[in-house]
Amino acid sequence: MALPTSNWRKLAPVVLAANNVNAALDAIYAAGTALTYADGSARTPGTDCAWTWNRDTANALQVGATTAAYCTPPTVFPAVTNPGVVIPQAMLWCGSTVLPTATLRYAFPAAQIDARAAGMLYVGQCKNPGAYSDWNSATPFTSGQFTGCANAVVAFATATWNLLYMWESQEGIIVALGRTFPQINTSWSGGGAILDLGTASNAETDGRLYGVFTSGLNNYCSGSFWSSTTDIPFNEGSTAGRERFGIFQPGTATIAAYNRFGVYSPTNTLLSRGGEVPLIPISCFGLMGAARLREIWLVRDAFTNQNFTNGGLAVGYIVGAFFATTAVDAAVLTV
Amino acid sequence: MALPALQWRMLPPVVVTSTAQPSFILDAIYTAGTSAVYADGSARVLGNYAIPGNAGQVPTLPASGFAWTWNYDATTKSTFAGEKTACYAVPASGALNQQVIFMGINSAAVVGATWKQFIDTRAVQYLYGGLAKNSGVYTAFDNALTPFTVGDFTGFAMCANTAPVAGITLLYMWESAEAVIVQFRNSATNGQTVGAIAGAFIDPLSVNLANAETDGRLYGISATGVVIMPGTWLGTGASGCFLFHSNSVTDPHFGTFTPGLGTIALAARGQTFTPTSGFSSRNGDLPEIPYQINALTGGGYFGQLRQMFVTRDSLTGIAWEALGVQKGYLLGASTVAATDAMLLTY
Repeated sequence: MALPTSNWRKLAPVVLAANNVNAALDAIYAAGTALTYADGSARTPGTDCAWTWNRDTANALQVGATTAAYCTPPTVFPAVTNPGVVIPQAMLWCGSTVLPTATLRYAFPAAQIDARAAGMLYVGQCKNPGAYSDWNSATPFTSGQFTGCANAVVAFATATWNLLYMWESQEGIIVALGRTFPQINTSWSGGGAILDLGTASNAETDGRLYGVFTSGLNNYCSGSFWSSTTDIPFNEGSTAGRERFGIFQPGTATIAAYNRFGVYSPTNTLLSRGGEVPLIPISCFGLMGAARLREIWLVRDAFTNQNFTNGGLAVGYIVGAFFATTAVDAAVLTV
Repeated sequence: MALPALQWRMLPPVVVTSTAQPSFILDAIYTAGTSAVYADGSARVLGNYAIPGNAGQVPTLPASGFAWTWNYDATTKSTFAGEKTACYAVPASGALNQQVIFMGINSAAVVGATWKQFIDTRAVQYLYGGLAKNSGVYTAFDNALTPFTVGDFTGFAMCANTAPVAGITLLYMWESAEAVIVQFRNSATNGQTVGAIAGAFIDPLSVNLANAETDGRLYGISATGVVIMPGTWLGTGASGCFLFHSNSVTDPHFGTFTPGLGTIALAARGQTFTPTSGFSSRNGDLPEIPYQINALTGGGYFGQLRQMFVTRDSLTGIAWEALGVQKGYLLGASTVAATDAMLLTY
């Protein structure tokens, strides 16, 4: 049985106060705690699609600076296979200008471990989290199962990030950092329960799969990410520094790799003869079987921060490899 | 809004008793199409023509089920009396009166409506397929415009090379309420296949009359030509297979009627896939990956295949059951080796 339909919302973009990890985390926190969405509608954390955020400004690595921003979902949906019991989760973005020494690192396969580095922004996902304790540890949420921290972006010194975008649904979050010069690139990260197996078989007890993804450290998100095999979202590169898409094996803390299935080469003419914009479902494949991205669709070429409307009604929000002026491969997150 | 989900059924495979000429293949098609049971032994509710073999008849259609009602033509262009030259079928219902037809002869010049977008070489000993909409009763396969008196016709596209180049020895057929698939094994040794898909097998996912006919469907045909299906027929660069079009004679042709018109819009796959025999969940569930169809040129979108999903590599012609429940049938490229395959869901 399919999971409930996710409804995506767009947070207001935030300009980074500086090109460093602390400013990025401040921007993530600012976006996540906004009381209105980008379209001006009200947002109440803990309800509808709004995640509830907190941050760490007292970490011993860098006291007084924001070194982590983390959040928990509203969980308004029921469990599918175990009524009433939706598995708790938390998303974590973290990093400091001081080298973290004890952070649990994302590794897949076991020998391919994302490196700890000063100034890097990391992303991780926790299943069954306890209270937040310290991201620079093996258990950032005291207990539960943690993916480890994966590189969330191209390094700040390389990229010169200056914009942050965020989208949230009842069970997933996507963050994109953008830069305006010299190219309009992005790096993506996010996670949650963004895959749907379409069956209770092989899923967690609530019917979901939980995990984390990032377009990686090595390069910006590819402009042809629906056909490329590197530097892309929703794909496990199985090499440190590359793109990551790790999904918890149900009932365990062990990661299974998931990879986009299929090669698509959309253009800006991917329209029906009637001028409609088709929404193409995308599946990923891994140990638990093929699973569909939840309300994350392939769409005609577009760029990040565009809104997709039809007759004045919002259909969804665009997350593209570029964020302005040049339409390339893109996804639409439907409302 | 999506069209109603099709439910696919498999007919019992039929041995083609001779590779000498197309009539033996047409015999097999007719035998499969008039079977009173499905391959799984379940009953098949049949319609009928009052006088099989005669033209100009209106069939009595079944009130329910998925069975297409078949007839044949053994009266025109036959070398020998009673030899079939065409088989055609109509579904139990449908607003636009679609009909599918296969034809071929072993003597004389082959005439009839040519494939509208590209004229295949018309030759004896080949099997051709076509699809009609807004059709009337069958008159003759060699009518220059349509075999069905009135309406729109795709023209004939090659869908198998018959004897002696590649002798067809076995026929598979699957049907749903709105589409038919035929596949021919032309080598018992290596299991190679050719065939055709015809009917309303693409869902435009739109009722916009620029995208869909007035009944919300798209009607079309995909024929392999004489080219053997490659094992990686869903992958990059694959040609000579279902859902592929080439502007060369005897090559695969794939197109749909332009909604509201009798012209053909050429179609192409919207993506490529490289599944393997390991493409299943760890408990053996088969994936069901939707398949998109685009315009051949310009990058436009036509729709999504109806209950035809990319799945793990498989032989063609086998069924998938899970815990004793019928799930569907596998459409692959070979009868002896696991190749790229689609799952036709039950």
